[in-house]
Amino acid sequence: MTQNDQMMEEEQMYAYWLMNVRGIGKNTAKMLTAGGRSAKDVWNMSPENLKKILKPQQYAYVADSRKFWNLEKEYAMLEKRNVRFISQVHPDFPEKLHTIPDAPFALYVKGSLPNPEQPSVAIIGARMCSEYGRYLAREFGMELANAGIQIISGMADGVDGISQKAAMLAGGKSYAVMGCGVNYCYPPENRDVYELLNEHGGILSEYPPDTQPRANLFPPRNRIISALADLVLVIEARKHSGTLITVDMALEQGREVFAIPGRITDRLSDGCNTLIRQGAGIALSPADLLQEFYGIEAENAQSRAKIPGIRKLDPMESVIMDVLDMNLQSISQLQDKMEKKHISVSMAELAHYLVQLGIRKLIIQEGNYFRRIY
Amino acid sequence: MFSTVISGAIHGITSYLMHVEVDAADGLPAFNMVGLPSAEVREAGERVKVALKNSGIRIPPMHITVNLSPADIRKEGVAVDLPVALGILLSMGEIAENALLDTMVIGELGLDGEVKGVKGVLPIVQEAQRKGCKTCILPLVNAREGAVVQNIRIIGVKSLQEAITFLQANSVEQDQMIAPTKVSISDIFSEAVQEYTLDFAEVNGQAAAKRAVEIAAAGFHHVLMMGPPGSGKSMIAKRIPTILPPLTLSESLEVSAIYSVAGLLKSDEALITRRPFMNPHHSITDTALVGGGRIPQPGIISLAHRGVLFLDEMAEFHRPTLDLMRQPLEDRSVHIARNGGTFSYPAEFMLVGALNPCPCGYYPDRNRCRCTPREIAKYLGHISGPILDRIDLCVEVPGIAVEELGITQARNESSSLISTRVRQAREKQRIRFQGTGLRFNSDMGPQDIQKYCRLGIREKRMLEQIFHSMNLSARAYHRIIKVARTIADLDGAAQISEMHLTEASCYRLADTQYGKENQRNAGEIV
Repeated sequence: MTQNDQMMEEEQMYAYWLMNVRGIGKNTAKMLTAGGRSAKDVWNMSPENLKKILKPQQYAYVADSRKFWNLEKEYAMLEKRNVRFISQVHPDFPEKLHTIPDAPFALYVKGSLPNPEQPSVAIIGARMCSEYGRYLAREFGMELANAGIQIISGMADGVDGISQKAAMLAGGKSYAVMGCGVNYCYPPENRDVYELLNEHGGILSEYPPDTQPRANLFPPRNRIISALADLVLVIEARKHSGTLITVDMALEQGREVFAIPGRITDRLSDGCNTLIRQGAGIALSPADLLQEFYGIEAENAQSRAKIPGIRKLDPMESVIMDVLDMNLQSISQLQDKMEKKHISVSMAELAHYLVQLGIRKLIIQEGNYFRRIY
Repeated sequence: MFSTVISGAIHGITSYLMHVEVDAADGLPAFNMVGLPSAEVREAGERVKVALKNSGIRIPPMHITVNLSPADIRKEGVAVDLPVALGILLSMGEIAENALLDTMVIGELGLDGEVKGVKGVLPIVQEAQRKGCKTCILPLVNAREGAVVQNIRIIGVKSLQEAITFLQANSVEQDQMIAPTKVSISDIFSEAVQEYTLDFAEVNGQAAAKRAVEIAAAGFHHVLMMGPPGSGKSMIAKRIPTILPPLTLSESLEVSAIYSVAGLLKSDEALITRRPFMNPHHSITDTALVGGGRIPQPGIISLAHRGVLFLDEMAEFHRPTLDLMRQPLEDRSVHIARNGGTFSYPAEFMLVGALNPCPCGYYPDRNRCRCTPREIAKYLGHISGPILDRIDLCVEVPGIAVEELGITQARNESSSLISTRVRQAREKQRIRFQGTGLRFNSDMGPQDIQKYCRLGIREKRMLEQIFHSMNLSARAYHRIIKVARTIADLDGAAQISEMHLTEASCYRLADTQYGKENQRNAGEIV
């Protein structure tokens, strides 16, 4: 370890202290370290100088904390829990974060940081997404990962988690920016995604590792998601949704925004369609996106999903496939749709066809609901 | 002098005859009641004294002792007023000694001597007839109820005075005074020619739900309907009694006895002739649902005996309350143990549940539903697994478009048409299960399924495929076969075919439908 590295480690120790003083947030920390002052200098600062910068209450907290905080012990504890602390002066601190307004003062990292040499795409979208959104999140996550692109997202329910999981299962890397501490798996349902991220990517947060999830912590993390990516891809979003907050931040940071078009009758596609109207890029397929933005001719990325066994359908089956949708529908809804096409079929017959198609894995049955896979 | 009058009381829904013994002797004037009377029975003494006075009879100052035998059963209710009064008159010699021979008496007295109606007349009169009584003196309002029991003379009286005059007369005069109440059972049944005001023809659309309900009615399966608010779940449920076969006489007597005990039999209806339909509000208490109380009373599940118990907004019910139905659903009766004894009420009902698929009610329509997977899982979690396990059919009732509501009824099947098919399917089951103790397909256990639901090689392979492609549990397996058996019965088929199996497999709750939304789809790399 060079002397420089040692100094840097030491500085991290002090920065970690500074971020854990009550009443000191990233803005105050930045104020204290302005003008080339290091965190160590802050630790050694005289009370008079500190009082010039801080409010009396904040000063009291700092003075108090300087008395009791055990620098080495606390920092060693963090390392023991496999959490890295990277302040903005650290060479590993992502370059992309330096350039944004309101950059975080430091990051806590579990796993690894995104590789700055590789392209990265943020895939974001609704938590309560439709089957269409699910399918696209999967497809884009997988195909972009295949092309060597890192997927950045927020590990949330729905689009976020699905795209990240798909990317990692395809052998790619993915990074999640959390709205809670990195030791928290939120939402708990995404435990499997969390474990995968730990191994095939990283979990990032600007909050201390044991911070519990709180609603007001989530919107600020969105700026980090968009900042870490070259491009933000919106899969599905309602109007006025959190996803669109991320898009606003991406535009502020100068990131490119792409959206996937949807049917104008689907409320979950309103956000995307509006974005396209406002001039966002249109992502028609993973291959299309790769070529459009990165200029990559992805041979292995499928331009259109191939549908196995589709040729072996008899006429009735193909009518049924037509009325089926990627969204869940019940038998009576399907029967009504068939009737509108002037094809009358009894409940029993329709059930028979549907179950047969399910057995052939052409459609998916969930209780009394059915949907297409593609 | 000592006298004894036969009366009766109810214990659960069974009844026993009780002897009211009265002794009027010289001594300090007193009125004592023994034989484990409860507070309201003990008060009978005061009512009787005043009622006698107001009927123009003076009781001389005597030491009167009343014993209710058998003395070891706690006496509840107010049915002993009239027998006590008559017992006193008998011991005083106002009424001839043999006037109350083989006569069972029940009734409550008002202070003016009016005879008021009591609960449980039907089972008590049945018991009296079994024990060889020839005459019953009942409150007039209960006379028709008692007259359902044949081969026994039913005398309905309005007042104590009337009862006394009646008993003082000879047999010829008696017949002129009060004609015995007679009820023709066949008339009752033909009067109530099942004229329901509701009909399935009024339900537009919802083919799947209607079909599921038909299957449920045919095989006496429990059924769960899921759908957004206003999709017609309650509308369909309320029409289920119209497609069930009419009550038989023995069924009607069973149901009437329960209603009689609960005091719910109206004076103008001698018997319950229609299938009960109970739809309790979800705020119902434990006791009201399964029965009980200090003096045990039948609960809603017993009042729904041989009929339909409809639980609307099932997920809103208090979960422990719903769980109380686990044992009754299994045993088809409910046993209630209290320190006064153990009571058993029949509870063989068809459970019809209705619930929204999620808190907002619109899942899986993601254009409207914004419930999180957690919320959805929690919502359905209000109904415990053991209850869901007993429900063989689950059907989706989707929201209906406004334009479809205006369609004329001509296309819809009427209740009577569906009812005919249901009756045919039930007849098949009756023949199949003759002498086995089973009544319906839904009663079959795994062994019965082996015996009565033989599958062909093709059908077996098909079921295996369904099993694998849908990742079913062993329970779901048996449920599908049972439902398929009923579908085959409706079809008039002796053997279960592939069609029957595939249809049956569409009426079930998805194991993956709730709670695991994310995992399922994130892992589903196709």
